[in-house]
Amino acid sequence: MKRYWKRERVYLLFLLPTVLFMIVFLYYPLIRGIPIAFTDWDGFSKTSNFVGLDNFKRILRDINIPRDLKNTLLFTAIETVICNVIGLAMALAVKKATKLNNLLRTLFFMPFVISLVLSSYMVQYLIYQVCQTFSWTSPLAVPSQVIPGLALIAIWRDSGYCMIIYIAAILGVDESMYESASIEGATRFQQFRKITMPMIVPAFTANVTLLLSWGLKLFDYSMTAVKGDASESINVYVYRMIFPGYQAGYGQAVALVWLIVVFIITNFVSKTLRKREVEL
Amino acid sequence: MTRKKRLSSVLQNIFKIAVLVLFMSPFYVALNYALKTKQEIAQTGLAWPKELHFENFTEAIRQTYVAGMPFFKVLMNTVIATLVGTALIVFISAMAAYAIARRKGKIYSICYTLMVVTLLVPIQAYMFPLYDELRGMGLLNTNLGFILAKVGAQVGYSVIITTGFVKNISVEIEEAALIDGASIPKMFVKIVMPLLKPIFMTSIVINALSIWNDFGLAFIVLTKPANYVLPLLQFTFITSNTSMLNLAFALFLLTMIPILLLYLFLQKYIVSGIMLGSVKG
Repeated sequence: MKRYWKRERVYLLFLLPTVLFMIVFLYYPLIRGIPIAFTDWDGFSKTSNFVGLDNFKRILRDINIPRDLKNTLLFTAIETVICNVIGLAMALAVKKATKLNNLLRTLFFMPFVISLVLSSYMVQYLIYQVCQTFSWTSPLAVPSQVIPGLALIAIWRDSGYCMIIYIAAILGVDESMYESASIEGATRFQQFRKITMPMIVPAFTANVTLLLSWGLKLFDYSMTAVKGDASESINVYVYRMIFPGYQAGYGQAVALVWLIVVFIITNFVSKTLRKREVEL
Repeated sequence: MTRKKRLSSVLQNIFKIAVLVLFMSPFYVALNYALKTKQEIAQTGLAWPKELHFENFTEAIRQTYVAGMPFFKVLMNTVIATLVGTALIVFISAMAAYAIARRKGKIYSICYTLMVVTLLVPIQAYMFPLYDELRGMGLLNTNLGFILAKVGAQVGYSVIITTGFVKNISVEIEEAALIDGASIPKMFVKIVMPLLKPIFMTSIVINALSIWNDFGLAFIVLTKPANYVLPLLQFTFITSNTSMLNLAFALFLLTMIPILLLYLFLQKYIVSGIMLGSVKG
């Protein structure tokens, strides 16, 4: 033990600040939230009662949960799929490093540097103006279309990020592979299928995992673009229960279950993708 | 063949223009609204303003002072949080990444797993106990509290991308320095840190953007208007001024300009930084 300490001392001290920050400001509060989930604490009183599994039973009966779950998952699915499609299309369009393409890359990525709050309002009013011009009903005004509307905001902001990741992958392909392929008589489609595709699959995995985790964290857009039932995500519901709702116990229970669901979904998706990667 | 090629390049250009127009139009909306009067927005939609109302900007700033969330103070809060938070994360994550990349053992792999898990945890899962904890520490409603909470939430990701990068650096130079009698910390600062420059760029970009644009965590930690950061100002300003869209968007433009300028000046590093992070991460 003493020898271990002597040898590893410096490295463990290197690790210490990061681990401390993570524990004090993330894991400790996360774990402290668990016992709260088994109480009826309102969040500010001195006393609270242990209520066993009551909060968790209530989740099963709560009619808000299925709706907010559907909102969150639908948003995540639309964002993940469309961002990848648009991001890949943009990457293929501007992959050659000409002056114009470099400018386009810069502009396509630009939405990503502004806050989600700003993105939300800017796209929201664009949608409003466009719909007004053509006398359409704005999707953000129709409850059933609010979530695709929110996804539109996210797509605008995040597609450029996907594009960058895809460009990085495409640039990794050796140009001479295309040359020899076309000499051998491979069509453009065959080249894309056999050379480009296998190279961009890891980028696809990276993008999907990232967008999935962003999507499941949906909070800002729901708070800013359209408030209310139609846009509410699980995270907003947790917030609403704990802070304005004075139901810290129940809010923590929802948060806890949601955290487990997020782990399961993310784990499943990344495992599936990695398996496919090997198969390809 | 050439005709087919020409057609495909025409299609490609049409696609590029379409995407460009779509992606730039929200910025146009912001600029357009910011330069019009309230009535003009209602009447003329997205037509270019007849007269440019630059007084919207000064009026918007004045209103933030009336509402008790003074623009320049909020801007300073955000700048300080971004600078301090980013510097802290980049430095401590490099140290941790170095230890994880160079040593084997249970402690290191457990810590690494803990970092990966932080990427998935939504703030809402621990925001309430965190709020309570910060209140107990007297850090609620302080910029320091916001910075510390943000470092805790962000540092894991930086360690992960930096670890991947360190693993690709050869150990030989480090060993040579150690044989020459340098201590590990000294060797880290003199030899390893300079080699990490490219991934520092990535780490700086990702963390600076994340702190500058943070809404979820700030929303919990900073509840007093005077201590706000920019996204909270944006949110509170427009929710209390929905009838004054011109002022709200003038303020939006003001808060957007610093980060957009920085992006345009540093875009080469930002784009390559993101690419590097994705490849190594």
